[in-house]
Amino acid sequence: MGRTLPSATQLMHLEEAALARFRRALRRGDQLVFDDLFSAAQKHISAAAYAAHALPFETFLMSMLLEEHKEIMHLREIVKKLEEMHA
Amino acid sequence: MESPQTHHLQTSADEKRQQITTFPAPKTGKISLVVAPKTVVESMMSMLSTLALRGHVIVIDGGNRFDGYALARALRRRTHQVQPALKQVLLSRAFTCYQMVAVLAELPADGTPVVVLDMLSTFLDENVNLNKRKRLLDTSLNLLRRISEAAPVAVWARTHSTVGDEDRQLLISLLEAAQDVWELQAPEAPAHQPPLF
Repeated sequence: MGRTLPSATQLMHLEEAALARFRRALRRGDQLVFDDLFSAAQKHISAAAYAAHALPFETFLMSMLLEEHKEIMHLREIVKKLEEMHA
Repeated sequence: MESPQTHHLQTSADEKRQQITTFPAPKTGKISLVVAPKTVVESMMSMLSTLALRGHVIVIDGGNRFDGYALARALRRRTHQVQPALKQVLLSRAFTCYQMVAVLAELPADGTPVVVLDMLSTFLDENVNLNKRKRLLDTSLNLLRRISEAAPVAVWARTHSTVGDEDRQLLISLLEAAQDVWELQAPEAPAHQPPLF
Protein backbone atom coordinates (compact mmCIF):
# COMPACT_ATOMS: atom_id res chain seq x y z
CA MET A 1 0.00 0.00 0.00
CA GLY A 2 1.55 3.28 -1.04
CA ARG A 3 4.83 3.94 -2.76
CA THR A 4 7.76 1.76 -1.77
CA LEU A 5 11.24 3.17 -1.37
CA PRO A 6 13.27 3.39 -4.59
CA SER A 7 15.62 0.49 -5.21
CA ALA A 8 19.38 0.94 -4.79
CA THR A 9 19.74 0.94 -8.57
CA GLN A 10 17.14 3.69 -8.90
CA LEU A 11 18.88 5.66 -6.16
CA MET A 12 22.15 5.41 -8.02
CA HIS A 13 20.52 6.66 -11.20
CA LEU A 14 19.02 9.55 -9.22
CA GLU A 15 22.39 10.46 -7.77
CA GLU A 16 23.95 10.24 -11.22
CA ALA A 17 21.22 12.48 -12.60
CA ALA A 18 21.78 14.97 -9.78
CA LEU A 19 25.41 15.23 -10.91
CA ALA A 20 24.52 15.53 -14.60
CA ARG A 21 25.36 19.23 -14.81
CA PHE A 22 28.69 18.66 -13.09
CA ARG A 23 29.48 15.85 -15.53
CA ARG A 24 28.44 17.97 -18.48
CA ALA A 25 30.92 20.68 -17.48
CA LEU A 26 33.80 18.21 -17.35
CA ARG A 27 36.23 17.60 -20.19
CA ARG A 28 35.45 14.56 -22.28
CA GLY A 29 38.31 12.54 -20.78
CA ASP A 30 37.15 13.38 -17.27
CA GLN A 31 33.60 12.43 -18.19
CA LEU A 32 34.81 8.95 -19.05
CA VAL A 33 36.56 8.73 -15.67
CA PHE A 34 33.39 9.97 -13.99
CA ASP A 35 31.38 7.24 -15.72
CA ASP A 36 33.97 4.69 -14.69
CA LEU A 37 33.55 5.70 -11.05
CA PHE A 38 29.84 5.05 -11.19
CA SER A 39 30.44 1.73 -12.97
CA ALA A 40 32.70 0.81 -10.06
CA ALA A 41 29.99 1.73 -7.57
CA GLN A 42 27.54 -0.43 -9.51
CA LYS A 43 29.61 -3.51 -8.60
CA HIS A 44 28.60 -3.14 -4.96
CA ILE A 45 24.97 -2.18 -5.45
CA SER A 46 23.68 -5.18 -3.53
CA ALA A 47 25.81 -4.25 -0.51
CA ALA A 48 24.45 -0.70 -0.75
CA ALA A 49 20.90 -2.07 -0.85
CA TYR A 50 21.56 -4.28 2.18
CA ALA A 51 23.10 -1.35 4.10
CA ALA A 52 19.87 0.67 3.69
CA HIS A 53 21.86 3.75 4.61
CA ALA A 54 19.95 6.97 5.27
CA LEU A 55 22.37 8.68 2.89
CA PRO A 56 22.82 6.16 0.06
CA PHE A 57 25.35 8.35 -1.78
CA GLU A 58 27.82 7.76 1.04
CA THR A 59 27.69 4.02 0.34
CA PHE A 60 28.18 4.68 -3.38
CA LEU A 61 31.24 6.81 -2.58
CA MET A 62 32.54 4.03 -0.35
CA SER A 63 32.05 1.55 -3.22
CA MET A 64 34.00 3.81 -5.59
CA LEU A 65 36.78 4.14 -3.03
CA LEU A 66 36.79 0.38 -2.50
CA GLU A 67 37.31 -0.28 -6.21
CA GLU A 68 39.98 2.42 -6.43
CA HIS A 69 41.88 0.87 -3.55
CA LYS A 70 41.58 -2.60 -5.06
CA GLU A 71 43.18 -1.19 -8.18
CA ILE A 72 45.97 0.41 -6.14
CA MET A 73 46.64 -2.85 -4.28
CA HIS A 74 46.74 -4.75 -7.57
CA LEU A 75 49.16 -2.22 -9.08
CA ARG A 76 51.35 -2.41 -5.97
CA GLU A 77 51.60 -6.16 -6.47
CA ILE A 78 52.62 -5.67 -10.10
CA VAL A 79 55.21 -3.04 -9.17
CA LYS A 80 56.60 -5.30 -6.44
CA LYS A 81 56.97 -8.19 -8.87
CA LEU A 82 58.61 -5.98 -11.45
CA GLU A 83 61.05 -4.67 -8.84
CA GLU A 84 61.88 -8.22 -7.82
CA MET A 85 62.43 -9.20 -11.44
CA HIS A 86 64.84 -6.37 -11.98
CA ALA A 87 66.57 -6.64 -8.62
CA MET B 1 -8.41 37.73 14.48
CA GLU B 2 -5.05 38.32 12.81
CA SER B 3 -5.44 38.55 9.06
CA PRO B 4 -3.46 35.94 7.14
CA GLN B 5 -0.10 36.94 5.78
CA THR B 6 0.46 35.74 2.25
CA HIS B 7 3.90 35.40 0.75
CA HIS B 8 4.15 34.89 -2.97
CA LEU B 9 7.34 33.21 -4.04
CA GLN B 10 8.33 33.53 -7.65
CA THR B 11 10.75 30.90 -8.79
CA SER B 12 13.26 31.57 -11.49
CA ALA B 13 13.84 28.83 -14.05
CA ASP B 14 17.05 27.88 -12.20
CA GLU B 15 15.29 27.66 -8.84
CA LYS B 16 12.54 25.56 -10.33
CA ARG B 17 15.17 23.20 -11.70
CA GLN B 18 16.86 23.03 -8.29
CA GLN B 19 13.46 22.70 -6.67
CA ILE B 20 14.58 24.29 -3.46
CA THR B 21 12.96 27.28 -1.86
CA THR B 22 13.56 28.10 1.75
CA PHE B 23 10.54 28.10 4.00
CA PRO B 24 10.94 29.31 7.55
CA ALA B 25 10.02 26.95 10.34
CA PRO B 26 6.41 27.41 11.52
CA LYS B 27 5.69 29.23 14.76
CA THR B 28 3.39 28.43 17.64
CA GLY B 29 0.06 30.16 17.55
CA LYS B 30 -0.48 30.03 13.83
CA ILE B 31 -1.00 27.57 11.03
CA SER B 32 1.56 28.04 8.26
CA LEU B 33 0.32 26.93 4.87
CA VAL B 34 2.45 26.19 1.83
CA VAL B 35 0.53 26.10 -1.43
CA ALA B 36 2.80 24.61 -4.06
CA PRO B 37 3.22 21.76 -6.54
CA LYS B 38 4.98 18.50 -5.69
CA THR B 39 8.39 19.93 -6.58
CA VAL B 40 8.35 21.62 -3.17
CA VAL B 41 8.95 18.32 -1.34
CA GLU B 42 12.68 18.98 -1.06
CA SER B 43 11.96 22.38 0.52
CA MET B 44 9.45 20.87 2.91
CA MET B 45 12.03 18.28 3.97
CA SER B 46 14.51 21.11 4.49
CA MET B 47 12.03 22.87 6.76
CA LEU B 48 11.35 19.58 8.52
CA SER B 49 15.08 19.16 9.15
CA THR B 50 15.07 22.49 11.02
CA LEU B 51 12.32 21.19 13.30
CA ALA B 52 13.93 17.77 13.72
CA LEU B 53 17.17 19.36 14.91
CA ARG B 54 15.23 21.14 17.66
CA GLY B 55 13.38 18.06 18.92
CA HIS B 56 10.47 15.78 18.19
CA VAL B 57 8.29 16.57 15.22
CA ILE B 58 5.15 14.80 14.04
CA VAL B 59 4.65 14.37 10.30
CA ILE B 60 1.31 13.37 8.84
CA ASP B 61 1.63 12.30 5.24
CA GLY B 62 -1.64 12.66 3.38
CA GLY B 63 -0.42 11.98 -0.15
CA ASN B 64 2.49 9.56 0.24
CA ARG B 65 4.93 12.43 -0.30
CA PHE B 66 7.34 11.97 2.58
CA ASP B 67 10.89 11.66 1.25
CA GLY B 68 13.18 10.17 3.87
CA TYR B 69 16.26 10.48 1.68
CA ALA B 70 15.64 14.17 1.04
CA LEU B 71 15.23 14.69 4.78
CA ALA B 72 18.48 12.82 5.45
CA ARG B 73 20.31 14.97 2.89
CA ALA B 74 18.87 18.15 4.40
CA LEU B 75 20.00 17.03 7.85
CA ARG B 76 23.44 16.02 6.59
CA ARG B 77 23.97 19.54 5.28
CA ARG B 78 23.56 20.77 8.84
CA THR B 79 24.92 18.08 11.12
CA HIS B 80 26.97 14.91 11.21
CA GLN B 81 24.45 13.39 13.64
CA VAL B 82 21.87 12.44 11.06
CA GLN B 83 20.49 9.32 12.75
CA PRO B 84 19.53 10.97 16.08
CA ALA B 85 17.80 13.75 14.18
CA LEU B 86 15.92 11.29 11.97
CA LYS B 87 14.68 9.51 15.08
CA GLN B 88 13.00 12.74 16.17
CA VAL B 89 10.61 12.48 13.25
CA LEU B 90 7.43 10.54 13.99
CA LEU B 91 5.66 9.70 10.74
CA SER B 92 2.01 8.79 10.31
CA ARG B 93 0.31 8.20 6.98
CA ALA B 94 -3.33 8.77 6.16
CA PHE B 95 -4.90 7.16 3.10
CA THR B 96 -8.46 8.41 3.49
CA CYS B 97 -10.02 11.59 4.81
CA TYR B 98 -11.44 9.61 7.74
CA GLN B 99 -7.93 8.46 8.65
CA MET B 100 -6.68 12.04 8.42
CA VAL B 101 -9.26 13.16 10.98
CA ALA B 102 -8.50 10.16 13.20
CA VAL B 103 -4.74 10.78 13.13
CA LEU B 104 -5.16 14.47 13.92
CA ALA B 105 -7.59 13.72 16.75
CA GLU B 106 -5.07 11.41 18.39
CA LEU B 107 -2.22 13.91 18.35
CA PRO B 108 -1.10 15.13 21.76
CA ALA B 109 -1.35 18.85 22.40
CA ASP B 110 2.04 18.91 24.11
CA GLY B 111 3.87 21.44 22.01
CA THR B 112 5.32 18.95 19.51
CA PRO B 113 5.42 20.60 16.08
CA VAL B 114 3.16 19.09 13.46
CA VAL B 115 3.75 19.07 9.71
CA VAL B 116 1.02 17.82 7.39
CA LEU B 117 2.13 16.89 3.89
CA ASP B 118 -0.23 17.05 0.92
CA MET B 119 -3.18 17.46 3.25
CA LEU B 120 -5.89 17.74 0.60
CA SER B 121 -5.03 14.50 -1.22
CA THR B 122 -7.11 12.38 1.11
CA PHE B 123 -10.03 14.77 0.66
CA LEU B 124 -10.05 14.47 -3.13
CA ASP B 125 -11.86 11.17 -2.84
CA GLU B 126 -14.84 10.89 -5.17
CA ASN B 127 -16.11 7.88 -3.22
CA VAL B 128 -17.00 10.21 -0.37
CA ASN B 129 -19.74 12.80 -0.79
CA LEU B 130 -18.34 16.34 -1.20
CA ASN B 131 -20.35 17.75 1.71
CA LYS B 132 -19.08 14.97 3.92
CA ARG B 133 -15.52 15.69 2.83
CA LYS B 134 -16.00 19.38 3.59
CA ARG B 135 -17.24 18.55 7.09
CA LEU B 136 -14.30 16.23 7.65
CA LEU B 137 -11.91 18.92 6.42
CA ASP B 138 -13.48 21.45 8.77
CA THR B 139 -13.05 18.98 11.63
CA SER B 140 -9.41 18.48 10.63
CA LEU B 141 -8.81 22.22 10.51
CA ASN B 142 -10.40 22.70 13.93
CA LEU B 143 -8.10 20.03 15.31
CA LEU B 144 -5.11 21.76 13.71
CA ARG B 145 -6.17 25.09 15.19
CA ARG B 146 -6.28 23.51 18.64
CA ILE B 147 -2.83 21.99 18.11
CA SER B 148 -1.41 25.27 16.79
CA GLU B 149 -2.27 27.00 20.08
CA ALA B 150 0.49 25.02 21.73
CA ALA B 151 2.75 23.98 18.87
CA PRO B 152 4.01 25.09 15.47
CA VAL B 153 1.87 23.69 12.66
CA ALA B 154 2.78 23.63 8.99
CA VAL B 155 0.56 22.31 6.24
CA TRP B 156 1.40 21.72 2.61
CA ALA B 157 -1.44 21.82 0.10
CA ARG B 158 -0.28 20.40 -3.21
CA THR B 159 -1.44 22.25 -6.28
CA HIS B 160 -2.14 20.51 -9.54
CA SER B 161 -1.76 21.67 -13.11
CA THR B 162 -5.52 21.37 -13.57
CA VAL B 163 -7.67 22.69 -10.76
CA GLY B 164 -11.18 21.31 -10.37
CA ASP B 165 -14.02 23.08 -8.64
CA GLU B 166 -13.87 20.70 -5.68
CA ASP B 167 -10.11 21.28 -5.30
CA ARG B 168 -10.76 25.00 -5.22
CA GLN B 169 -13.48 24.73 -2.59
CA LEU B 170 -11.34 22.61 -0.32
CA LEU B 171 -8.31 24.84 -0.79
CA ILE B 172 -10.35 27.90 0.14
CA SER B 173 -11.23 26.29 3.49
CA LEU B 174 -7.55 25.64 4.08
CA LEU B 175 -6.57 29.20 3.10
CA GLU B 176 -9.13 30.60 5.51
CA ALA B 177 -7.74 28.53 8.38
CA ALA B 178 -4.12 29.53 7.86
CA GLN B 179 -2.50 32.62 9.29
CA ASP B 180 0.68 32.41 7.23
CA VAL B 181 0.44 31.43 3.59
CA TRP B 182 3.38 30.68 1.30
CA GLU B 183 2.35 30.38 -2.29
CA LEU B 184 4.83 29.16 -4.85
CA GLN B 185 4.13 30.57 -8.25
CA ALA B 186 5.47 29.31 -11.54
CA PRO B 187 8.12 31.57 -13.11
CA GLU B 188 6.89 34.24 -15.47
CA ALA B 189 7.38 33.51 -19.14
CA PRO B 190 10.47 35.43 -20.26
CA ALA B 191 9.79 38.45 -22.41
CA HIS B 192 10.20 37.57 -26.06
CA GLN B 193 13.22 39.21 -27.59
CA PRO B 194 12.89 39.38 -31.35
CA PRO B 195 15.96 38.26 -33.28
CA LEU B 196 18.40 40.90 -34.47
CA PHE B 197 18.05 39.88 -38.11
